[in-house]
Amino acid sequence: MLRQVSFAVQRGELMALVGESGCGKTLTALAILGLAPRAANVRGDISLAGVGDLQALGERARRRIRGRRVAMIFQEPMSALNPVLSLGRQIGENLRRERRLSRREVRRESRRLLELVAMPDADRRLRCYPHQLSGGQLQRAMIAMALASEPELLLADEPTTALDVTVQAQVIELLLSLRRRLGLTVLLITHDLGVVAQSCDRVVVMYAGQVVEEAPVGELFEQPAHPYTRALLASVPRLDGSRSKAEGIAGRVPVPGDLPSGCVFHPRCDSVIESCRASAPELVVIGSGNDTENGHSSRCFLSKPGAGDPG
Amino acid sequence: MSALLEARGLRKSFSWRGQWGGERRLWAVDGVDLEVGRGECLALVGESGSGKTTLGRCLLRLLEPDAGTVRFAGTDLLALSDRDLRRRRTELQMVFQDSAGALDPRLRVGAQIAEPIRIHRLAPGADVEPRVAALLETVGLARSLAERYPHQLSGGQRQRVGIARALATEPRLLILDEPVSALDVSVRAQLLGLLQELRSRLQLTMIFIAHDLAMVEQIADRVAVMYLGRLIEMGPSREVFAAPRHPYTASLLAAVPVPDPKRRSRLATTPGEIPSPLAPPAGCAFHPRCTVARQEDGAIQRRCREQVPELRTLEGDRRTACHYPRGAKEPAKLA
Repeated sequence: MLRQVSFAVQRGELMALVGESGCGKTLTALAILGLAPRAANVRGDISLAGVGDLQALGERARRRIRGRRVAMIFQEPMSALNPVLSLGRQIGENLRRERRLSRREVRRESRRLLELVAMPDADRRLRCYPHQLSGGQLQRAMIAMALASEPELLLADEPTTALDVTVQAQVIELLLSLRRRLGLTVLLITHDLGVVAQSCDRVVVMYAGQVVEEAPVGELFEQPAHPYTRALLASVPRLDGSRSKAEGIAGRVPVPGDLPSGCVFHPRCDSVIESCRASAPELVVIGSGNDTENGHSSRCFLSKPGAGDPG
Repeated sequence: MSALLEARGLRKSFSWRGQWGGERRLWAVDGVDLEVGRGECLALVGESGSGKTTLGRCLLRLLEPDAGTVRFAGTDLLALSDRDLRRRRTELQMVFQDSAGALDPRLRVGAQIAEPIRIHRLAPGADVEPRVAALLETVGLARSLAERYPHQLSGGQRQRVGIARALATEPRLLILDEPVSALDVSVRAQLLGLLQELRSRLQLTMIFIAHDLAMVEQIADRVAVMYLGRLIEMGPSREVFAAPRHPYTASLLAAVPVPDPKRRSRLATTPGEIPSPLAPPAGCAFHPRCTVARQEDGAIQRRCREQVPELRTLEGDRRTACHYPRGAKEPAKLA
């Protein structure tokens, strides 16, 4: 389902993973955590600074990494939180287990965490149950829980998709401020390119289980190299009237058991050429930047190495 | 443009027995006036809990309003008997957000589209099948899909089936409740294109319900913004997007992230979330979150706290329910 997904997230970076539903964004995050379904056979190298290859670790050590260095937040806070435990209990769980704090310290730290995520009325909220909170408050609580173990890397899987726009705006600003204040590294999974443009440093575009383009955010929006990225950008509605009509992408993401030949995107691509049907393109470095921070790469026959935007 | 649908003073409440026995009541729609012209597309925008879906259902009398009138092409829908209403329903149809839930999982797609044609006896038996095929083509689907079950379709295809089923009775007015919200952006844009095309081809009048202004910009002629059961701003969409008059509309617009990394801006201009309709704030329902209502010393303007602002006309076709509308030289005159 995922094929040769490679990317590197730099310390302190906010990296976006974008693509339509079914492109493998969530599975990639779960694979990083070692939480991919048992049926999934994850191979390859997933390394974390200071630890090395996570795949080589035993389950115990892996769990330790999940607890302390990498945390994840989910799209539906209501289903990710336990409905029968108070927020205090759920945040405290991590503090007790991972940081071995005393009861008193747990309480103080939980309150500090809720204040950190700007939860109104933090003290009282600790005694609340999930159903007593609004969608935005639940997402804040989940972020507080994730931060309890003081992770370096936060995997955020569509954290704002289920929220109203004004609340989505607040959660995005919260993530940005946490990154600034705590030096957090964030991998943001989203399908909203507006959110990406407003918050991220680098972008990885996925399609049908592959990385099809990776670039710094400015370059991706200005000179998208892969036709899929261009089509995604053309689908985004703009409020300023700078374009008359948003265009969609015909067809749908292929299912893993039934992938097209050659380039997986060719049946939906508007600039398809003969070779696209026959063979699969490699991810090649294009443009000038070559290092991992400024590099721009694309998986398309039309993206010439070092040639920049093909059209 | 003469109005095809006109609602006046529409109110709808839900009540239940509270924990301690007393009756509790919430007003989901609390005094709404609106009109939709023939061939027009009106967008009804509001966040969750604003009452937009309840309002949409009241307009079709899928829910019985507590008070007010709904006139459709001159007929008072609320005065119709059940039988007459059922007959008129062919002219007003609804498309639901959750296409997976709105379609019957055990019925083939073709049979679901045929159902309204059969129920309303709109075509003789032999003509039903070709009509279903034609409807599928109208919404851009292959005829062969008639044999499929809903779970065999993608979300975008299912939503097209929902539209085909609504079009089966040849309605004049279509109410679409968040028809694209659950879809990927790429599919969303295609579906919006289809709706635009259908609208001009079939001369449909549309009410498009959405929670996000970005979704309606492409299709709506006019927008009406709802907050806790009331309309707080209404006007031609181009003008509202360019210069919102109500602070809430302005914050909704600011919250839509611009897909341009060179133009980063503050997204969250309004604190807090929409309050529970169980305990709406007094005065202007938006005042606890409003930056205009808050004076320099941090206190909230008395008028905003105490007096419910009426939806009044500012100029031309622009209406807003705010004591201190943006862009106005002077505050609204005291009634």
